[in-house]
Amino acid sequence: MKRSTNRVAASLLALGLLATACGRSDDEGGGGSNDTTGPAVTNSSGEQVEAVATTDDCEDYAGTQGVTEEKILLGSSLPTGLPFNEIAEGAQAYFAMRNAEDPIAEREVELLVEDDGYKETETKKNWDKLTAEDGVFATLLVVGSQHNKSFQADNNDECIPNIFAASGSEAWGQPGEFPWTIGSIPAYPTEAAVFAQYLKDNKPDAKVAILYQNDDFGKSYLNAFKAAAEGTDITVVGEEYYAADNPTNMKSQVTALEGTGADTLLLATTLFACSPALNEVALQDWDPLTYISATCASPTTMAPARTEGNSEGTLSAVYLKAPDDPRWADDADILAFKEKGQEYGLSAEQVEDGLTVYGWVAADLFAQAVDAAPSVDRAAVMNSLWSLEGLTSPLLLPGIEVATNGADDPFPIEAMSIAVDNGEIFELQGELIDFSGETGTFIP
Amino acid sequence: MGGGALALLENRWVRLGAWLVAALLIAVIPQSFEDPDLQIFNYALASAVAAIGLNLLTGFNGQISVGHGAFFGIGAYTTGILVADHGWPHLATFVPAALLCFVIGMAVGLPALRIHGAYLALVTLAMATVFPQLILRYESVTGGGSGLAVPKWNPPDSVDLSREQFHFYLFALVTVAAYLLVRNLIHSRMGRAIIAVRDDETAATVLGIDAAKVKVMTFGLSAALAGIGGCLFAVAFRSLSPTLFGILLSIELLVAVVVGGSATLAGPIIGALFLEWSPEVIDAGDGQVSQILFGVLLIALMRVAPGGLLGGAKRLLVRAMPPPALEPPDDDEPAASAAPPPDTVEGP
Repeated sequence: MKRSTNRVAASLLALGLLATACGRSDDEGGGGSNDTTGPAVTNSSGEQVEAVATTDDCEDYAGTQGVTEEKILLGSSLPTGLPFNEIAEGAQAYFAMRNAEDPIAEREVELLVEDDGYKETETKKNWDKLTAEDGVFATLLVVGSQHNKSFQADNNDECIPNIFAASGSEAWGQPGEFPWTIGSIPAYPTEAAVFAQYLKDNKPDAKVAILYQNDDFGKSYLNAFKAAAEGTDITVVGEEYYAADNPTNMKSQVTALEGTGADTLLLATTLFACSPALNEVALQDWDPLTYISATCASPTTMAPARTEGNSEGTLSAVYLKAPDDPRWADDADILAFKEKGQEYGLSAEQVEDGLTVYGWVAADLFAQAVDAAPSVDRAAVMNSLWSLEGLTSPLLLPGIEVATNGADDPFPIEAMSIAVDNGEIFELQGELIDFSGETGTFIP
Repeated sequence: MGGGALALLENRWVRLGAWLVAALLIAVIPQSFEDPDLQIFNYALASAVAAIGLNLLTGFNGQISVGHGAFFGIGAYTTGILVADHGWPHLATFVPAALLCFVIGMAVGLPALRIHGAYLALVTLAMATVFPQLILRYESVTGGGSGLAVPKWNPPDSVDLSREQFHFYLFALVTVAAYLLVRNLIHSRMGRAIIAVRDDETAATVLGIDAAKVKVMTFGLSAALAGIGGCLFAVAFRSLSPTLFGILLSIELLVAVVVGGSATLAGPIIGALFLEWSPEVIDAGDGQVSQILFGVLLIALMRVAPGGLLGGAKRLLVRAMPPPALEPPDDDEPAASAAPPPDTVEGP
């Protein structure tokens, strides 16, 4: 099958991390016409809960498209260049393992991957093809906020699940309006709240300056951090933004933020802006306690700052066991992952990559959600995803429980630990900060 | 040179044949492609209408714009906002979108009276840069970075077509209308003035042409067509966000014009189809390799056919059909003078 490809400059973009966010709206009622409360379904602990995804208003609902007695066909769209390909390959390796050793719902799972070169028009074309031509059951791990957004209205109308969108936008937490899309990584607001909590515990009178990307991604952090800091002694003393399409020149913003007398800096930056921001802070001999978005935590993104020696001591947050963190060198689950991963198609380098782990874990959670569903039907699987209870996965940080409960708790993973850059990697530091069920309170 | 081939292109039967082929393609394509592939044709036709507009300005009038993506975006957002928030029927939004782009286009055309070439390109570049920022700034109207979902335009119940097929016929109709508009304009008195201003502004002024009026009007008209292209895009893509309408889009429209054949009438349509389809066809298995291949293809194309695909085809035809050199030449006139000057107007 043909992979659609991108054309002009998107190869540059493919170097970055999960980026640029989208917004949200609180409207409810995308579900049924008169009957928005669907039938009761069984959640992952066997209790009866209200169905989130109902099929009354679906356009040509085909609940078992892509599913046969033998097979479940899934699709994804992402930039297939480094580093994002690792996400898909991590998931594919996991499915290969399960297919061989312990088939999910007694079926073989295949994940088709289409390249979109990080261009949302291509993502939409890929989605059209995957769903209409290849006939996939659902899409999984589509990378990018705008990219998931490009088909969100369509997958909602046609009731085709878009599972574990690979972006931290809070837009994937609106089961009332968009019951057919669910997120995966901790939402950006969760992450901002985790950093605010870290400050409460360690630097309760922090004077914080915020540099954010001037779009929904950056504003997610900005608004959530302010909401989380409300009622504490933490003060936001300055905020500056940069344009998403001009991420390299931060001089004036950093100068202005330093001038506020802040002792703490929150960098709501991503992709190409991560390293330039850190380098500019170092260039101006400013030494605040710095936190940088977890979307920056890829070796590619951090490299320009690390080679200049400007990254050490920078904080970020993690929720997965990083295979290159010495802390997990002897961890049985990490060792098992490295062994199984290589047995089922990953290279020795790939099993050291955090994005591969992410794909692997997401595939594992998908498998558990399918197991918990009463049947392999689109609505059944979606409702299972919206009512997860206490799922775990060996490569999540110990103590993290994956849970959702419809509109009351639409975000699967809401706990992270602070990590600190040691000049080479982000090393886990401190305890888990858990906001399970609370992310919504940081979204103004 | 090439009087034989060029005369052939001028032949009314050949032109009629070309129209028949186009009509046949329009009839056959929706029946031969699955909906997802048909969508790609729909995106291409939306770009084609905008490229026809840009070609009027850049190809025929010699004013370079690297900012037509902004007009495309204004058209798309006009349709999106009026349909989503004010319940307008899709088709009715095309009129205000075109008018708005016409007015803004004329306003942008004003500085173009005094600046030319690369400097004009810079002014229009600024437009391409500012547009996405404006969308973000006026979030309450545009939806900002969260995007704007455009309601579906379904075919009427009486028509037994899929949504994509319905859109295709509609878009093809708009494309043909835009083509005819520009063709008739170019063949009119105004059209001759547009080309004269491009070729030599001073000479045109001496001939009594109001160059300022011609340039500003052309800019407005060109922007209006780009805006209508944007309306079509909004109908087909249905999910608008500022990142769609950045500088890259403006450059792509320019590439469509140049690849198809600048200052030819059908060139922009061919260019837009080429631009939209070539990434689907070139498939090296690895996205980045495919992009490099596409870049190489573009460079090679410009080397082999500097006049674009249509210009290249014309040259091939001329080579294959040498001028009737065996005829005894006229005593006074060289044979070539009978041919129209190249690089002006050609049929479909």
